[in-house]
Amino acid sequence: MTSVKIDSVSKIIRRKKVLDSVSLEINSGKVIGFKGINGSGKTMLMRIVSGLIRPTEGKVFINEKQLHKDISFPESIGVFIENPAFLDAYSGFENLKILASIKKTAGEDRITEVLEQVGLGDAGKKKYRKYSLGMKQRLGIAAAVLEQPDIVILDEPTNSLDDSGVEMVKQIVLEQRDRGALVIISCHDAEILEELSDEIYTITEGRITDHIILGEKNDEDKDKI
Amino acid sequence: MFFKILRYDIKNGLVKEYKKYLLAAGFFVIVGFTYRLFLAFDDVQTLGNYLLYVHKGMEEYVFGYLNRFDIPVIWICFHMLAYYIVMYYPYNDIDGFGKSILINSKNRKLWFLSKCCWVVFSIVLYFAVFMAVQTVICLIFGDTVSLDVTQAEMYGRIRFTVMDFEGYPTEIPLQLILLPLLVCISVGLVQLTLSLIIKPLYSYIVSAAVLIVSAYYVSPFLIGNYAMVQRSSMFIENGVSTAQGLICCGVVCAASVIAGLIIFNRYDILNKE
Repeated sequence: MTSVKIDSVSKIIRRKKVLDSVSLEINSGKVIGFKGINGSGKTMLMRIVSGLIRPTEGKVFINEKQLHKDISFPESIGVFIENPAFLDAYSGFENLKILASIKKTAGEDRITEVLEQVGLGDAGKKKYRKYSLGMKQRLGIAAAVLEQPDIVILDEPTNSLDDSGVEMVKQIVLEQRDRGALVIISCHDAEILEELSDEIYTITEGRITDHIILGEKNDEDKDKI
Repeated sequence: MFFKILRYDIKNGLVKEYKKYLLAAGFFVIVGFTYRLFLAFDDVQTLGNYLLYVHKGMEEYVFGYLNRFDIPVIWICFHMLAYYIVMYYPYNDIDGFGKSILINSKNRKLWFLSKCCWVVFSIVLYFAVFMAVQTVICLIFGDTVSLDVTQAEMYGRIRFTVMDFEGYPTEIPLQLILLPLLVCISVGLVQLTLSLIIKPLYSYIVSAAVLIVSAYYVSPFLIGNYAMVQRSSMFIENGVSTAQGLICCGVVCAASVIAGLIIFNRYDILNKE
């Protein structure tokens, strides 16, 4: 059971408050959607949960361990935030192999499996520099779920993807949820977000302005708070 | 875990950056041949003479209307090229694939320490390439591969103000290899730490400023002095000693690494834009 508790988190960057007293508590086995316009603070919140950014005020707890105090990063996390970056000179497979070599939790079989899952089965051997935008996006998603982490963060995963890519993202998100991971996702497409999420938080100018619980994807369960 | 990150850094920040070392080798070839063909004082040369030509730096500058401040171009270029080689990789890495490596390693300290080691290895390799090129040029001209400096070079290249100077300075190998290397590593680590606060180009400019100010003033607090043979207390009255140099470099390296660890621990990993 993985829990993420965000307690009155604010973030000021270059004198601008990009997050303002955000508090929420989320648990594993769910898909949590973040909705909001560009610059609303969705990505910043995801970066804070992933440990890449320290909050100016407030605390983040992952499984009751305080981020940046007890731990530097969540112990089991896969992150896909904005444009994924890989090494140009290596193939998709090799890039994932380098990542996997750090923790040694995923072997070559798992790399092959995840590449096939994101639709890069054959292209896995191709150099990353030859990848199209959509293929880069797919590899980024593959890297995020490669090690079957407890927390999966996907920021705009459907950008640059065609219809089959969007379907692939949906499948992966639901699969991750079903195996018990906590999936945090942001997406501009409200339909996709509603289809995938168990709960949706709306962020406006750095504040949580709305929280919808979608439950078992049943409209009757929608409970607007 | 640390060695896995270090291996990644060595492979991507050093081996894959071989073109920068080829550029450096080209510069060393030009410097070596220019020295040997046009500037050598002696017919018989040693490897030490070649090294002295680059690392002699400049004599103490005494301010005066008739005294022009001539920047020691070769010496500055030699160091600035090393700082250029270690300028961008850590910055680009944290904005790219290194971010994933960092998240996977779950340890900011190890990530930064690996970058510190990468700076050290890069500069050691830079000096190794320099030594190798000068040795090859030495062999081409049939010169002696020895760190001894010939008397003609010693007295022709260095202006002595130590009146009781006699014989051969035994510390010369340290002055020709160890101190320039340690100074280069120290400034490289300062540059790495500074690039966490300001852009790499600005930290590179700070490195250049440190060298220029060091050339201008003789002071034990200006680290560049220790990389100039002519500023050694062996040769000038108010010069800097080898022991001071070793201590200064040790302190600067330790301070840079500790400061870098503290800063990086609080560092927000945002996109460049």
